[in-house]
Amino acid sequence: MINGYNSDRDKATSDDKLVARSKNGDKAAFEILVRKYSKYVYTTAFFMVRDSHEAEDISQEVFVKVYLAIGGFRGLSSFKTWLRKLTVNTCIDKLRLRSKTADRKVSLDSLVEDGKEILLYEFNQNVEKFFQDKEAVKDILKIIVNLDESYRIPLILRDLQDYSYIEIAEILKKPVGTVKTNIHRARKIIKNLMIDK
Amino acid sequence: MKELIMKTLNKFFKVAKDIVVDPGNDIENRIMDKIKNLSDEDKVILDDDFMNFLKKSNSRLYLFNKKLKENCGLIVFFGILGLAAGTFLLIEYRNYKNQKA
Repeated sequence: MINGYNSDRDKATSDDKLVARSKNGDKAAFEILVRKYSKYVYTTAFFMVRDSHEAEDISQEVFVKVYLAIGGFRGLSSFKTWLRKLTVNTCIDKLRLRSKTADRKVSLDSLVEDGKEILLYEFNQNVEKFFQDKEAVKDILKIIVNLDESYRIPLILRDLQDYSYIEIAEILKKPVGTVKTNIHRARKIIKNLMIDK
Repeated sequence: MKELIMKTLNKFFKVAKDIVVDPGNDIENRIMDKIKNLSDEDKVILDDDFMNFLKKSNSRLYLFNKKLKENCGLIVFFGILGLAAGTFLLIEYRNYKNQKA
């Protein structure tokens, strides 16, 4: 699925309009936002908590929070950024609650077989080139999804969600140095496993 | 070689940002159903953590401070650059004054 947006600016403008309408109680506008971002929220949650049911619950919780609090959103950041931070915070809360749970292996293949599919989304680059890279990207995601939590979460926040090291350290309540070390180690693991393939 | 692998990895991470996993079970409709059937009890979801997040995301001062913290290296660099430029101009000005005298 490739969205036909010309630029990030167009996207932001259309989001701003939808948010403004939602603030005025327009449920149709809010539904457009849900349809536009539900997969994005779900994917973020899935890679963080590694459980499709929990990721779905988190997606519902995030949009309920957005719906109830959208009147208080002042728009100092883009709606997508706000939504992303809210999703990450909700996931971190869930992970803290179940921090004693042992890590388990998750297969991205079984997820795809389970009726879930990896899709193209908001992709603005050369499509043909993307399909060449897609398999390699899937391999990397398979490795990421099976990384230990202490490596997986900082790596996802840094490399997939564009958080700064300081932000990650604040969220995870860990020193910046530890965060940097864990991200470095995670990248090294991915690099080594990709070389072995 | 290591650098090349890291470059390639970074490129793949960039691509991975645009990928979604399709939940494959009409998640949008279920979210909207939930929203259409919200009760007062559901408002407990807006707990202290969330209200704190909302307050921070609506505070220009907080966001500005965060930007400062994240770019403190750059700020120190420009500070040193400014100081160096100021010192240079001061020395030049003094030389000019001495020559004139």
